[in-house]
Amino acid sequence: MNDLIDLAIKNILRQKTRTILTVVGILIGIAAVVALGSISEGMKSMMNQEMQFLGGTIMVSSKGSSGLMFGGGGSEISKYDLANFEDFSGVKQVVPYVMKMGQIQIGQGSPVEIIGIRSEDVDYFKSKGTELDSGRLIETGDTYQALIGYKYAEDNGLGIGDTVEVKKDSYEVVGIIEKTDTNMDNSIILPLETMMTTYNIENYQSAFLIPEDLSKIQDVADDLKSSFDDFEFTTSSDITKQMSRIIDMISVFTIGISSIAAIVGGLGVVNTMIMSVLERKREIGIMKAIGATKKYILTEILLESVIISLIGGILGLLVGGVGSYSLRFVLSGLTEAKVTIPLAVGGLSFAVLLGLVGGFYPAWSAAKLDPIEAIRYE
Amino acid sequence: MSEIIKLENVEKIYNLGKPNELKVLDNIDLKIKKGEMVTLFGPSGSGKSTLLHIIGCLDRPTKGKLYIDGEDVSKLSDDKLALIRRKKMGFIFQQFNLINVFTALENVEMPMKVANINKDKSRKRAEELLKLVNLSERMDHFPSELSGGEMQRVAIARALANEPSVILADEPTGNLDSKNGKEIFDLMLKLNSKGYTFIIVTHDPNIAKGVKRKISLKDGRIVGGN
Repeated sequence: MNDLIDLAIKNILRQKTRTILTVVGILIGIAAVVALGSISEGMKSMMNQEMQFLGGTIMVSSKGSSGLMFGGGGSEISKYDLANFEDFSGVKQVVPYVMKMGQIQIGQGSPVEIIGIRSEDVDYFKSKGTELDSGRLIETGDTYQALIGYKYAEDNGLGIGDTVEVKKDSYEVVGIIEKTDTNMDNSIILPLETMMTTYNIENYQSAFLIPEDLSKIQDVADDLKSSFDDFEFTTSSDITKQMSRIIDMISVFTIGISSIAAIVGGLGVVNTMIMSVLERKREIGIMKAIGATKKYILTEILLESVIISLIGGILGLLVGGVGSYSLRFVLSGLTEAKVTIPLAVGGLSFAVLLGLVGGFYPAWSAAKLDPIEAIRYE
Repeated sequence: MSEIIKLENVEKIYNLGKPNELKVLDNIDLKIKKGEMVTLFGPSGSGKSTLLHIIGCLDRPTKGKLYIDGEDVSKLSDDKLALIRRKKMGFIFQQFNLINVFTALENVEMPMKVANINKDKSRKRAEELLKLVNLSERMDHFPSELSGGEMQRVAIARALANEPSVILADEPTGNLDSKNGKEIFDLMLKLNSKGYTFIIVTHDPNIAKGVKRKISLKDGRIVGGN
């Protein structure tokens, strides 16, 4: 086998330019698969993190609002509605909130999320395993005090005791939330009532309902749905399902498009190997005359095409990795691109597969050459 | 001495059953003993190359039987024939047919690589063989750096690599000047005296003179030397 690999490498190096061009063909294809695939991988992991945060809650939003966690909406849930939810059987706690997007600042990527919650609900965040990096939480009696996300603090050079401006009101930073790799990193959390005054709004935008028994979350959500016609109740698993479907569609689309590039690269391998076999027809005849079996010739030629596409695959993985890293800046905030191990293994296997499939026809036609005819070939 | 090659009533027909059917060999009976050196000669189209190819297991007879070392090989599959060629046949061609990207040494190693012989062993044997053909100084040269005579000596060394039962040569001196041609023939004579069996297709009068058994063919039949 070592001899065969040695022989294959020697043969590959005979036509350096052609080999390099073929490798580049595979490289571009695999780099595209990896870079574009990394976007959906990034979206998946981001969704999982966000969903972990939402886990075990029912989201309420009024029907017709653009709703959920992505802002928008307007005032949807009145204090009266809130009291109704609080009294509903099976609901342990109601966490109302208001969320606004800050102004987009040039060079800052996505805008900051400004979230208002009641001081008594702040514990909810802690229960999700989120800790403070420094300072303290918002407490009862706080008004113009704020918690800020890790990235927001870093980007704006803010520390405890500094002031953040929200709509011309000044809030004192009392705590910085640890890095969570979610949207929370770029957020400002304010006491709910003060924030509603700042924005001059009367109703809550949305709320989380926390069920008494987590295992009955779906039943509670169904009961709520039948009792309140004007509201939508969504559990995190509903959202996960919906988002997974969207992410899967995006994955199929991006991987599909990039696979076309890789398959075109694979056609380059077929072309190169056909040329190479044709040029070496006589040599292959000699090899057969001195006793090489079909399998020997087939293996040797296949090795050549697999080596070419494996090199293309490895380089494509590196280039795709760099591409994915650059995409992080383009997509900043929307999602992060992530080259996962399954993606890398998938990319390399795809390259090897292209080599095997692309090399098979040329290798087979070489293997079944008639030695007498091949030796006479000029 | 025992027979290495035995052909019984061998017939070769190309394009069998088609309008352009062509009988190239007809009713060939032939025995070649171990250690013999024979020439096949005849006008072009007489079937001597086809006969050499059949004996060399590069081609199969349409009818009749071919025995190599007593084994009937006339009906073997392509891959079985490849194994017979690997173990029992050495080929020398008019065009030398070395592989250009390999050095002389690597070319001689090739049949042993194909036979999966261990690297050190095949390297050592290839060096010995190149020494035997007086090319120890040229082992690391590529074919393009060798003269015709030298290339043919590398080809002879390659033919000997797997200790073949028979060496088949197709116009081995056809591309060489008379001096180099003579040297190659002398080398073959020397190897024959060491016990190697040779079957040579040739027009070269020097070879024809120097070989006792001459098998002449005409229109696909043996007409002399049997």
